[in-house]
Amino acid sequence: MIEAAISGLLQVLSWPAFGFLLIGGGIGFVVGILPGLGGLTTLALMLPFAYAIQEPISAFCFLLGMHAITGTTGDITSILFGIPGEGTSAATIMDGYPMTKNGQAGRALGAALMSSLVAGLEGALILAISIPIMRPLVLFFGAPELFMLTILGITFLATLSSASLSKGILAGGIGLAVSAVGIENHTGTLRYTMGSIYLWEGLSLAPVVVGLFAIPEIVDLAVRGSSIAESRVEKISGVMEGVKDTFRHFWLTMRCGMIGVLVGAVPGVGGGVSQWMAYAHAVQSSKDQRRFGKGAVEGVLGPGAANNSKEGGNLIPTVAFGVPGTTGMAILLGAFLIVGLTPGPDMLTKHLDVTLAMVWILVISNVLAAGVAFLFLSQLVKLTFVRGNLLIPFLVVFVFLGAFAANNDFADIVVALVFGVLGYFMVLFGWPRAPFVLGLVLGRLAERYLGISLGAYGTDWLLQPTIVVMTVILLGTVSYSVYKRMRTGGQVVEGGVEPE
Amino acid sequence: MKWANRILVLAAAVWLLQGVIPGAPESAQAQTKPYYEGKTILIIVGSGPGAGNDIRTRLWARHASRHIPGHPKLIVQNRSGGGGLRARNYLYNIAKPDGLTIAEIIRGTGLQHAIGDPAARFEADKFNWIGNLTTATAICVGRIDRVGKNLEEAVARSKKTQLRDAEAGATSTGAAIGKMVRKFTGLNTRQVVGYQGGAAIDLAIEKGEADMRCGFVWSSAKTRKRQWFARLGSKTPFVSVLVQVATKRHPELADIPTLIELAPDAEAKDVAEMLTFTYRNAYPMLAPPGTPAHVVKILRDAFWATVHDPQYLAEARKIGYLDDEPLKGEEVQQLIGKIVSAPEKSRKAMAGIVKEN
Repeated sequence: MIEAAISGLLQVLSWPAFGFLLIGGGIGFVVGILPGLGGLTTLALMLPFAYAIQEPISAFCFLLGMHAITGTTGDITSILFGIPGEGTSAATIMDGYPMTKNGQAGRALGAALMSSLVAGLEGALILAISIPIMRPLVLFFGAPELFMLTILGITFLATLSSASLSKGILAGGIGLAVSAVGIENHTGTLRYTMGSIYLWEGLSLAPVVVGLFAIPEIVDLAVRGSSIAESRVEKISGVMEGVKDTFRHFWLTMRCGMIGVLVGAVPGVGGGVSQWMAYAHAVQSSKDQRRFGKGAVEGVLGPGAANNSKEGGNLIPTVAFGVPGTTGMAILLGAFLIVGLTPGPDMLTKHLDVTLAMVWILVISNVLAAGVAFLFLSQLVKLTFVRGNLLIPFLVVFVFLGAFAANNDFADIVVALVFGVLGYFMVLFGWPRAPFVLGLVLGRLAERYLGISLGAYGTDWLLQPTIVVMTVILLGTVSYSVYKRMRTGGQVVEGGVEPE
Repeated sequence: MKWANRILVLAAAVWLLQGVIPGAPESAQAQTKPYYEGKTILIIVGSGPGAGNDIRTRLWARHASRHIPGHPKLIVQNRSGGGGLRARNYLYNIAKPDGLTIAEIIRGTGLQHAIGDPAARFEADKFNWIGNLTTATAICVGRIDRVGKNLEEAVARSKKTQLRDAEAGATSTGAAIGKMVRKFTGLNTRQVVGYQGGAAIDLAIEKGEADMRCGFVWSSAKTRKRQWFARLGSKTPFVSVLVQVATKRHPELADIPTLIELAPDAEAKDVAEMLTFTYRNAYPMLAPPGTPAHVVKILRDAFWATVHDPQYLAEARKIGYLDDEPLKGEEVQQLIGKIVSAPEKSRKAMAGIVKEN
């Protein structure tokens, strides 16, 4: 394995593979930073280059490098403007944007990028270590186990709930209800589609999240009439402070990175969920949960870490079984075939060097992305001191482009507007938005895996040893949280930007 | 300033009218230069980025311009939703029939029309069919340890232990095949649905969560799961092929019965044929109704030339299309005609099978 690892590294660093990594990375950097340039569409557009490149490692340098960097830089707009660069990078908004408003944009960006880098390396390392156990690991997680994992995710609703636990749980419940929109797979029934075919596939995450988080912030910015940053801290950037924060909270970063890998490795769960679970964990493990939603750096470190490490996790089922965990991986799967590789056992034996080269690509592209981003951060941070009135037209364009990129449909913009209004009123009346998004993301998954479990095993799966153990752990965690909350007299987590 | 404004308005009006009035200058130019010169063709794909038919259409689009007189630009745009329904409705009702908007929408257009799907706002046979990128032979496979070596053994074994048939959605074409096999042969199955695509279904079978699946496209099986099949040289085969969905037996599956052969009566045969024709027309390309005949001809000719282009074929083989059988536009038009004009009784039976849970 060591030989294969060295061979993989040398192949990535050789010419022209490294050149392709730089080109792919450059494209990924721009696409990630600009909302509206959909990372997935760009990846699909770039896929044909694999035909021309031919050589597997060069092709993965180009495509995987691009994909990994898109995720890293997607956090930048979340923090600076409250607009998620990608649908999956919304959790960074929760504390990243309040930090920007407090004049700490540099620190937030430094923390997001450094945690992204550290956890990205962790994800790559775990991917490398897990190679011998990849197949048994993925085969272990059947539908019942995946259902229990989604239930575990749903219990985080309480953690993300604000001053009023009931408001948080209700918001999560509404999120779960909204997740029911679309075709019900097990019976083919259309639910809440109101005669619109657009709604058949359910609501896309990007327009909902963009509307829910970005539009209220733009309205807020317009009303305030000031710059995004309300106060100017001594040092304009404070980027290094954010870097130091990553190491001050090193174990939190590592744990959130681990959440990213584990959730990312579950096919079909991946993307949207891992960041929110990591954010919830950051909140849950904090001694003073009241700081969250108002600019706690841990709230940036958690999702920042998971955002990148999940790529390592995503690669596990893709490489070992050809089952892509996310749409991005589905497109990369196309690249496997183009360069003459078939995902499966061969990738862990005959083509082990290619698999390990992918690990190196993740490592090197993460280092490059963070390095380049650090060069620009100080300039980007200055934007947050520009008068709001000048920024708003650009932000509005980005918001609607970001929403429209989901399905290329005018209805995407309508959805963003509807959820923008909902988000505005949620902020106004102190309803947390994070549980809503978690409910929306997990609802469909929970339903899917419950349906499959019942279809495949009836009710027998409830007595499977793994399920019994997971249920006990789940009940233990929930009971402990309730006990903790009761003891502290119901400490609050704002989980959203405070109303003015 | 007033004059300047008037000139601007006049210029805008002239520019706008140019597009609406079939003016003489345009026609005169058309005589001399190819229809598509300087134009852009938008190809709508009825699935998301990265889907099999999306990758395939993008491949076609990259090579097609060489074969279209005037060498237009080709742009691919994804418009997924409702298993292609959103793209079909858009193409039929909204897209301009000028040959500048065409589509590739995965199989099912004819079937949706034939079974009277209330959300289908189109008549499938009115579309102008340009061609079909590939035909698909679908198969039903089952784990050898659960179903045995062939269909007969599977039927016998299923009497003792019900088989779990994993499919994507309750109304998917794969699920419809499974239900037909159950009806035609007495194979005792229950469907487990909700999986996100074929790869997830394969994984469920490997995990032991399911025993069999249908709607597995043979060329895809050969690319992705060679190690599963003894007939592809595997020394430790994992599955047996039970049924194939094809108009005639695939040479590599000569011992496997087709769905049509299994049909017990004439009505069942009609229904099996509707589904078989649907699979045959796997990745079809189409233009809106009302597209001028000469434009349809240009597109059909370009389609046929592209799918025989050596560069295109070399790249198609690389992504696993080992035994392509593209169909000409005229042939697709006939297939669609056969599906939508099946006897009403058969169409109702088909609708019942699709909706049955």
